[in-house]
Amino acid sequence: MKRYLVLSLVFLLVPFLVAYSMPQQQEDDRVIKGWLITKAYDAKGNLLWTHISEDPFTLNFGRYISLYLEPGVADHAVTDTGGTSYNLHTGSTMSINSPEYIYRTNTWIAVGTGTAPFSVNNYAITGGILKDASSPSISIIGNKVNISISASFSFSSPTTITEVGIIDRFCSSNVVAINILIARDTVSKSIPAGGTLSVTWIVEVNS
Amino acid sequence: MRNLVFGVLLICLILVGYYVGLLMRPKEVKGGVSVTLVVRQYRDGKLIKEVVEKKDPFTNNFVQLLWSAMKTNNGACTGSYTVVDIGGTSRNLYVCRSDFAAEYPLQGNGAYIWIGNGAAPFSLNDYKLSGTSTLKTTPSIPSESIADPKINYTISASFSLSSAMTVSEVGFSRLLRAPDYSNYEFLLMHDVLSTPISAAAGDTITVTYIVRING
Repeated sequence: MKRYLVLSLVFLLVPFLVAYSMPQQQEDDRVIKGWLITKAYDAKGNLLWTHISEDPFTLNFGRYISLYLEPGVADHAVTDTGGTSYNLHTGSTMSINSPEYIYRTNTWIAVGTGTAPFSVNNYAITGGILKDASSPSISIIGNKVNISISASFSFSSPTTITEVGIIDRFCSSNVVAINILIARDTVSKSIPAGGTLSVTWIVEVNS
Repeated sequence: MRNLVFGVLLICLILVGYYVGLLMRPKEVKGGVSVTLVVRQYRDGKLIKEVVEKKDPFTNNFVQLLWSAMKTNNGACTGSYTVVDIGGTSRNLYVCRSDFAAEYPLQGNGAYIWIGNGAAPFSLNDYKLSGTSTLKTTPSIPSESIADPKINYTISASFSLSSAMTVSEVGFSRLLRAPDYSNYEFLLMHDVLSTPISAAAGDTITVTYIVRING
């Protein structure tokens, strides 16, 4: 009897584990994809590793993009990298929460040491090192468009990075501005002393 | 006989284990944006046709807005981009304006969902619907639902047809503020339906866009 029970358990568990570990074969109906391509080089410029991930967007990104779906006056709350909530505004001259953080001056690529799994509520990169991204380049093939930005980081001592993010700066004047995290991904990679890290973010539209 | 029953039981266990394993697979977080477009035709209050389109494409106008969201000026307040309004005129919009005057694009107020009878295939450079007969109306305020890591935004609109119409295309447009302090309308999404809807006078057409972020 005991032998039958063990055998039954094995016949239940093995197919369970096989199915559980299979990659998801979900329908991919995305029209916008965000790719983060991270590459590390040693001091001599030799490529050490490449990490490619499909970068998830934060709630901040959703709140910003959905401003364009608004038919009227609206404020969408976003959380800045300090954890404070601000409103992005559309539809009229004055915001409920003036000033209006709506013009943009910077896009940064950030790397850091946070290890928490991605959540849409992420708003910061732990110990973030920020680099101004390159001006976005656009390439078009048919109806498909790639927009890409990149940044390069240099490290004088051995460093391990565990997260990468994209931070947008919204401002209402030269002195009043907020920084918000719009995309984040976790990685776990090391760069040796004297090494460099290049990060490229590619947003693919109508993919 | 007992062995036969046990054999059948083992096969059942294999199937149950495999099925439960499939259901319990951890969900992979894939960044990105998906759009589902649902067009329904009602006659006398009854649903008579539904067309669901996925991978609803964005126009170059939207691409430019996204570009502006990725644009860096290394701290300087400058930069503009060009979009084409629904009348076919190119307009420059600001990424940032040096005097910080309140004429940022999102100061524009208004959005529309369109339906039309055009059948021209989608092109990135579409700035209006291709049909000769078109209707537009203001959509609902976007509703947000979050199930981390997924975020959905839903807008919808309803059209009561006073005359017969073949609905073969759908669009979404947004009014944005240009540097001349005027609002202009820009087509951001355009989809040609895989199955056109032949609607009669008196029919109601509803259009729902579901914009899904991270899945």
